Amino acid sequence: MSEQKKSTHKLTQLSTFWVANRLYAFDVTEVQEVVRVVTTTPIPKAPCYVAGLINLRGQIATAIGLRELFGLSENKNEDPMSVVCKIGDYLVSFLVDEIGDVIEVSEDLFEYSPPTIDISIRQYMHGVYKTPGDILSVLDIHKIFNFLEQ
Amino acid sequence: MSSIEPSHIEQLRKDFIAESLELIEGALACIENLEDHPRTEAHAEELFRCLHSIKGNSNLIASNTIAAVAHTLESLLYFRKESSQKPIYNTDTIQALFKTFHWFQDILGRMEQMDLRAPQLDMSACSNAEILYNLQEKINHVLCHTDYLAPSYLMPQDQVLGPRLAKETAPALTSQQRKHKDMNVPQPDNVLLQDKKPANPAENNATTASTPTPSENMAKKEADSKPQLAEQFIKNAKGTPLNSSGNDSLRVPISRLDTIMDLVGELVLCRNQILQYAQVFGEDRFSNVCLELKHVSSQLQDEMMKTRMQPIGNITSKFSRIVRDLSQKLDKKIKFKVEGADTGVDRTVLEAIKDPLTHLIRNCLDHGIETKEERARTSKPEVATVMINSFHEGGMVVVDITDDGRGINPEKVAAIAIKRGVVTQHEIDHMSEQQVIELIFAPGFSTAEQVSDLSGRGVGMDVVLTNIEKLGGMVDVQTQLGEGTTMRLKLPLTLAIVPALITKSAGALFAIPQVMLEELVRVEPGSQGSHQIEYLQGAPVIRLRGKLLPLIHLNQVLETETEINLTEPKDESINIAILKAEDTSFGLIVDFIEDTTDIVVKPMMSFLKKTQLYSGATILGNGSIALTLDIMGLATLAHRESKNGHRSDISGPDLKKEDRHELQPHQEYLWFEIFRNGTYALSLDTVERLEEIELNALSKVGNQVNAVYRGHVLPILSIDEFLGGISIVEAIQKIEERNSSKISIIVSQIDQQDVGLLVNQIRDIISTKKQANSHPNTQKAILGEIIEQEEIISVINPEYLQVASPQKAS
Repeated sequence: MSEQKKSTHKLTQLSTFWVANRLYAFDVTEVQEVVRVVTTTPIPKAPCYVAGLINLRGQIATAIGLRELFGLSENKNEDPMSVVCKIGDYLVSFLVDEIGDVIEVSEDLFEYSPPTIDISIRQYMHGVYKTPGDILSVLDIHKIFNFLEQ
Repeated sequence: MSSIEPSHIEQLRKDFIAESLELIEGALACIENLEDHPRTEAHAEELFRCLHSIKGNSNLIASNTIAAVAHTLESLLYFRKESSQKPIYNTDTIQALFKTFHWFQDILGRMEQMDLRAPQLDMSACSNAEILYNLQEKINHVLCHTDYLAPSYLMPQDQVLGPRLAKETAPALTSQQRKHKDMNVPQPDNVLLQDKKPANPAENNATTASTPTPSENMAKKEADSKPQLAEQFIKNAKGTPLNSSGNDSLRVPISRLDTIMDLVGELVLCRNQILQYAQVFGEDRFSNVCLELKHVSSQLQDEMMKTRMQPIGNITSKFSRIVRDLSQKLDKKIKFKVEGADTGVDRTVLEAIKDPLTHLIRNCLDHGIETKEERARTSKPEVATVMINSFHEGGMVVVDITDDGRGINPEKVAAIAIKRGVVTQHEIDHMSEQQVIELIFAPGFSTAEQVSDLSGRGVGMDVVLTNIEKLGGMVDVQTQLGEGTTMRLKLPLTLAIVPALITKSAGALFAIPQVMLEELVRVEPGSQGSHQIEYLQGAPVIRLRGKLLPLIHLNQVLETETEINLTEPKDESINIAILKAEDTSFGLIVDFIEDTTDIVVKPMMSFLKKTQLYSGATILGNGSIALTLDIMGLATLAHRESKNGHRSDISGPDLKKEDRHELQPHQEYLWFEIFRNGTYALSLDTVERLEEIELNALSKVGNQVNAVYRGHVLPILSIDEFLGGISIVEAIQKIEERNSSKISIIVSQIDQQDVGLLVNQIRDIISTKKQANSHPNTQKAILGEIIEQEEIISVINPEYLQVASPQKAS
C-alpha cells in the first residue's frame, strides 16, 4: 500500500539545517553545495544580516546570516556552516548553525504555513512538511532573495 | 507530428542573422575595394561568393525576399560582367550595390529585433509577412529604379517579380511555414514557390545549384550564351565560403569565453598561492615546476585575453556607411579610410566606444569638413578625407579620427563658450589656445552655428568625453586651423581587468580604480602650514597646490570610528588618495596604502550597491576579498553630509560645494581691502551702494561713528572689528594719519537698517564661477575663499554681519 501511495504523490528532496535549534529546509535542487565557512569579509554599513562576502573558489558569495535575518537570537554562531545557493547570477551563502540530512518527503505531507507563525519568518517560508519526527519549515530562497533585493 | 522546437528556430534565426551580417560586411568591403579598383577580378569574385552565400542562407531560413533580391543582383552582375564592354563597377553600379547591401542590413536588423518566441510573432505567421510587406516596396524600388537594371531585356521579368512578390509571398509563406512545421525541417522556399510561380527567378538556384532547372528567364538567357561558365561560377560561389568558414574559425558563445576567462583567473590565483608555498619550501625541483606553471598560466591568460579581442575594424568598417549616407545628405565629397582595422580590442570596449565614435565621425562630417564651395575657395582637394587609424600603444588602444577639414577655431570656440556661459572673458584671457579648444568638451557647449539634425544640439562632446572617461580612456584633440583636426581616443585594452589601488581602512581592504585616482598625498606628522589637514566649520580640508580640497575620512563614512579628530597631532602619517569623479575632486583618507594591482571586478548583489559605497568586489592574489569603492557614491554621500551637517548654520545663498560647477550661475563679489592683512570680498547681493564720505562729515560719539547720509544717520562700522581686528575709532584714526579726507564705505543693510561698512580700499568687482572654497578658518565670519588673479580672497559671511550687528557696538 505504501508503495502505491508513494507512486501517486510526488516526492521532494529537502536539504535540512538547524538555525537556533529550529529545523529548516531548502529544496535540494536549489542548493549548490554546503561548505564550512573559513573567512568572511565583512561589509561595513551593510544590513545586520549580511555577514559579509565569501571567496568560494574564486566566486564571490554574499553571506546572509539566517539567525539575523529571522531575528532569532543575538548570540552569534562562531563556526557557522554555509548553504550555498545560486539565485540568478548571484551566489548567496546562507549561514546556519548545523547541517541536517537530506530527506525525502511526499507532497501529501505539505501544508501552507499556518497564519500564526510570526510574519518575520513566515514571509520567507514556502510551507511546512509534517514529517513523522518533526514539522519542517521549508524556506523559499526566492522570497528571501526578493526581500534582500527590494 | 512533432513541431520544430521554438528555441531551435530561434537559434537558427540568430545564426542566420549573424552569419548574413558577416557576409554583408565582407561584401561591403569588396564593394569598397571595387570602388577603388574596379577591375580587380579577385574582389569581384569574392563579392559573388558573399552574395551567393547570402542567397543560400536566406533560402534556408525562408527569407525569400533577401534570396530573391540577392539572386537578381547576382544574375545581373554576372550577366553584365559577361556582356559589358565598359567597366561594370562604375559609380552608379557601386552606389546601387551599396544601397542593396545596406538594405539587406536593414532587413536583418529588423529580423533581429522581433521576438519569435512570442506566439503572436511566430515566424510563420505575421512577422515575416510584415517584413515581407515592408520589403516589397523596397524590392520594387530597388528592382525598378536602380540603374543597373538598365538593360531593357531584363525589365519585363523584374517587373513581374515585384508585384508578384508583393501579392503572393506573404500568404504563401504562411502556408509554407506550416508545411515546415509538419515536415520538422525548415525547407527552402522553392517547394511552394515553384508551383506558384515557376517563372520567379528568385527561389531556385541556391539549393539546387548544379541542376539546370534554376534557369528561369534570365538564367536561361545567361545559359544560352555561356552555360558552362555560369555553372562554374555557381559552383565556385557555393563551395568556397562554406569550406573556408568551416575550417579556420569557430563560433563560440561569448558566455563560454567569459567562463573560461574566469577559470583562467582562478588558475592564476591558485598558481600565486602555490608560488608562495614554493618560496616557503625552498625545494629546487618543486620551485622549477612552479616556475614552469607560472609561465604556462601567464601565457594561457594572455591567449585567453586575445581570444576575447575583436578587431576594431568590426566597428570602424561600419562607419563607411554612415560616412556615405551623410556625405550625400550634406553634399560633401568624402573619402573614408580605415587603417589598423585588425587592432584587437576587448569586445566590451568595442561595444562601449561605438556610440562615442559614431558621434565623433558625425561631428567630423558635419562641422569639420567644409562645404564644397569652401574647399574650392581655400584650394583644398575637392574630396575631403576622414580617416580612422587605430593601433596599440603603451598597453592602450589608440584610435585617431583625422579629417582634413577646417580645423577648430579657438576664437570661435571662445566666443561661443562665453555666449553659452561656459566661461567668462576673464577666464578665457588666462587660457592657452589648447585649453580654449578643449572647451568643446565642456557641458552645454556646441559650436554648431546652425543646429542640424545630425549634430550640434549641444549635448555632444561632453557626452563623448564622459563616456570615454568612464571606460578609463582619454580624449585628446589636436587641431590646425584650416588644416584639419585629429581626435585621439585612448582606450584600455579590456574592461574586465582594471588596474586598482588597494587600500586598507579599519582592517578591511578596499580597491579604488586607478581611473578615479589622481594622486596620493601623505601628510607627515607635525608638518606645518599648507601640508596639513585643516578644519573649516568642522569639515576637514587640505590645501593642495593652492586649491582647497575637501576630505572624506573613509573610516568615518563606514562608521567604524565615530569621532575622528585629525587636528590633534598624531604619530602616524595620514594617507590621502586624491580622487576625481566626474567633475568633483576630493581626498579620501585611508589607513594604509597597500599596493596597486590588476583586479577583476565581480558584480555585487544590488542591495549592497544601494549603500552607495561599493561598486563591486574582487578577489586578490592571496584569495582575500576587497570591496571596490563606489567613488561617485562616496562623493555624493560626502556632499550630502556636508550639506546637512556642518553647513546648515551658514545659509549663504551661493555657497555650495565646488561640484556642479556648470549648473551654478556666475557669482559677483565686491573685492576690497581692510586694515588687516589680506583681501576680502562680499557678495554683491548684500551691497547696496558704495560711497565716499568726507571725514569731517563724521560724528564720533564715544566709540561709535555716525555719518549723515541722505538725510539719515548712518552708523559706520569697521569690518575689521567684525573679524576681531581694530575698532572703528582706531580705523578712522589710521585714515586721518595718512591725511586722506575721505573714507570709503560699503552701504549694506543690517537688521533692515542701512549701515556703512568702513573699508580701506575698494579693489574691484569680480565675477567668478568659482565657489568660495572651504577655508580652514574657524571664524564663522569667513564663508570661504576664492582665488582671483593669483590672490586669495576671503569671502565674508553676510549672515555673520547680521548676528554681530551694530547693537553689539552700542
